[in-house]
Amino acid sequence: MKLLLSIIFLLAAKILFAQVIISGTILDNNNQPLTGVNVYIQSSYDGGSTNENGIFKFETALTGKQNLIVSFIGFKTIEREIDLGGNNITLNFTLKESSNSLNAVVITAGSFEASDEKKSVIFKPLDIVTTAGGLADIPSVINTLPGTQTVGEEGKLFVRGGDSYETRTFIDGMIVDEPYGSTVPDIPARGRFSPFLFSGTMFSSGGYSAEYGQALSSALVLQTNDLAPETVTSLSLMSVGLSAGHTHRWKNSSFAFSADYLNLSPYFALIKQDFDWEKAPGGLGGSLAYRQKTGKNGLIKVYSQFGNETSSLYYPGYLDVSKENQVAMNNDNVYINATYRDLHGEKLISNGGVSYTYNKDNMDISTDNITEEMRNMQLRYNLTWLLNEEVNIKFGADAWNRNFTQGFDFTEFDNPISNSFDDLISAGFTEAEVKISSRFAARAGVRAEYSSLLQKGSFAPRLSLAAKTGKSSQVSLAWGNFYQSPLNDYLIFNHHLGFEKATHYIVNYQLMKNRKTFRIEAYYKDYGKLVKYDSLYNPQPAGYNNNGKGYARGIDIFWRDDSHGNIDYWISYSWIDTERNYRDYPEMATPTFVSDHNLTIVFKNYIPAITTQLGFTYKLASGRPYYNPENPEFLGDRTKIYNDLSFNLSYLTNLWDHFTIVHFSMGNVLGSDHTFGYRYSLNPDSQGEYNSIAIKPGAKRFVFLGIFVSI
Amino acid sequence: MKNLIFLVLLAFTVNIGTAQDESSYMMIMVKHKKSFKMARTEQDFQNLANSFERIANAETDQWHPLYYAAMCYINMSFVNEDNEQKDAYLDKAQTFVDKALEIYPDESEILVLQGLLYQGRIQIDPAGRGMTYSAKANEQLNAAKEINPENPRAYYLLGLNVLHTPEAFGGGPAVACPLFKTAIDKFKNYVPENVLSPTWGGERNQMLFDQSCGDQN
Repeated sequence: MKLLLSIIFLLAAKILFAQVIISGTILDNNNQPLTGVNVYIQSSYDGGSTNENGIFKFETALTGKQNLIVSFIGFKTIEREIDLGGNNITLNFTLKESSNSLNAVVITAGSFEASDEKKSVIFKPLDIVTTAGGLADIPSVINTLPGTQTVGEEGKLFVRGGDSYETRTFIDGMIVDEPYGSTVPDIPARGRFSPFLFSGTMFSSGGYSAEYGQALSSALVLQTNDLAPETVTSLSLMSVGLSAGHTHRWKNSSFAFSADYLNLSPYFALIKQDFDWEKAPGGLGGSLAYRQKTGKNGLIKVYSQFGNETSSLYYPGYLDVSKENQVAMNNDNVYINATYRDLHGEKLISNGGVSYTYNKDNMDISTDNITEEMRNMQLRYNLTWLLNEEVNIKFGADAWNRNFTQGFDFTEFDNPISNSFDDLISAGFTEAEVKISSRFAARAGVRAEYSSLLQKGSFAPRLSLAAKTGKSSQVSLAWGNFYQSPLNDYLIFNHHLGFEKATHYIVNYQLMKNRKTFRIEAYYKDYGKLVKYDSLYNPQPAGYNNNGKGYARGIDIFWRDDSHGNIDYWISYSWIDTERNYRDYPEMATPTFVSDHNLTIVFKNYIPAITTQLGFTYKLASGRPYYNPENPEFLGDRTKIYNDLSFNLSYLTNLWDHFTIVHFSMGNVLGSDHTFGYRYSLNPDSQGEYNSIAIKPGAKRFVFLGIFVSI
Repeated sequence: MKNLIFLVLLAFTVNIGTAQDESSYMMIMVKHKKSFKMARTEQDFQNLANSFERIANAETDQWHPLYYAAMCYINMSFVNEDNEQKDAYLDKAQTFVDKALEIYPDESEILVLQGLLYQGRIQIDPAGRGMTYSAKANEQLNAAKEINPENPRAYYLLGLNVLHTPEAFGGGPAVACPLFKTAIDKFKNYVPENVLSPTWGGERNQMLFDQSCGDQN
């Protein structure tokens, strides 16, 4: 009796809690079964995973309307309402790849990215400090990527037929007015900012986002570090100076400061220089960095860098190269950058900032003096709206105020002359990025700018598309208009000029597989409205105009193989055909900073047994045009082929129990002749001949030794 | 009467899927935790991760399901050989860790888990990520140790962090061994709070100690 009762009770229970079987098959886009997909009823334990045939099956006692969820990593989640009556249910689903899955398409035309956080980047932040010949200088290392030119006497970035001023540097979205140190002529400049400040670098050689304005040819976008990871004190002892810094980390904030002393005279005393230095480059500088977390996702970053640098040498005269003049440079620079970012809910991201630059170059040429003073300030705010997984829209506005004064105190003038201008460039942009599917993405934006000084504006549409062509390969296209205000040198004389303009067309193919990357990019650039004049110091600067033009077309190839553990190498090759008629050019000509062919091979090898990293960089560039007054063809001469092999070595060790890096590097190991060009006297001598001198580096080889200790 | 109780219980067990009371939650979690210990392949971990994720979605105030779901994905990233896939698994694991920390920001075990996840990131690109992520891992592990000085896993992972750091960077066995030793003692005296509390790490800690700290035995 008892048993019977029990059975009846159990059956009743079974009927009461009727079980329904839900089953089906899950496939991907290509109708292949997916294994491990999670299929379940929302907010319940009931569910199952698909087996190797993509089949799932589970029971549930739930009734009525329920939400069925199908979710799998890298795929879009499906939600489906089901009605649980008493009948078993069979449901089949096809999952779509998520637009931010591993295999999803990314817009790559024109850009090289380096980041710790993002996946599938071609370039790593560490590359900047480990590339031979780069000397931990960001522009020098970017110079190993395709699309760039080797311009040894400048040390700046020249991208795809563009002059150095056409590459704009941004730090946390803010324009950097003075990205390079100030030097005397023909001495290569270094980037002002240490690579250790940044956790992300994006170098774009064209077709960049509407977020970046006032750049004709290229954008170098640097992202500073967030909170410092730990409290540490560091000391650096280098063949060119000393540096000390301390970083303190609290739970939600960090503060760092450093002091640097630079003096090249001991080095110049040791290694003979061809330049006739009166005072070797030297200076004092410092930096402060503060980070504060606010709330859950907010972060405030403040960074400041300041310093003074001087140098002086005897330099061939402008009128007659056989007569040397003393040229002395004294530079004061202050840079402050404060930015803030926060997340509002899950859909809105705020980015704002303010930056200030003060720069004073005081240059004495014999008894003459040129002083340039810059006071610039920028305010910026960006709002990113993450509409859904596929679409995000950015809105931004910024105001960039520029104040520039140039003073001439020349013995031939009766009174000193001073010119200045004040300009406010206001800009706004909006841009939408749409991932139409995991295989196709588009980015479209417009940027509008207005200059209060020139009383002219610009309107720049930009478009990028990318499509997958295989599991690891894709094709990208980019097109856009880019505008930039004329150089300060022109604006002080003429306030009626307009923005210079470039249009970029880019097509890119990229294959990334097993830590190997191949990419090839072809581009065409149309330059218009470049500033032209008869002579820079024309007494009638009203004659300056925007009638200059030019073009650049070329092919950039990049190959990197990082699949051999401790050995890593990349090869960049660029071919370019470019001509322009700007400045005082009498006709279309290839400018002096262009080599038609540029080849760079970077090789790195880490040897764990001796905790040493070795690096080699080889550069080969075809001859560059130079101006020869005796040649009737303008810029018709070419220098000899440039080739350079650089070497570096970093040895990681302990010095009195403190982590230490010993770094040695040498430029031009083979001692090849480096002639960057020739400089001719403006006027012929008494025999009717033009004297000339070759522009060469100060010494055949460059040697650097540094010891960096963390305490 | 006994039978009745038995039957009521049976009826409930038949329907544990819906009757999400405290006891069925515990029963299922204990079962899955046992399977977790036996899991070896990516597929094992994936299926378990799915189970833990379902429970986590239903029991929004519990951290253990999130913890084990994250553990499964971290293990999947250790088993898988493809670097990008490893990162994708860790990204998924991070979402569970974030949720768990939201509910229990001061749970020592979750901070340890965050430390373990960061160590997983290092493994993918030691040269590029070693510096940043070992500092991040240290920060979490030290916080875990501060909250619960008796948590053996904090010491074990701190030891692991320095063991894999090159000697030149202030790591190596000399620094790691005292931490492993402390961990051994703490593992010995460790009393789990309940049956769902994490228990992993003891064996591997002992193994690493035996391997790397021969002269300090």
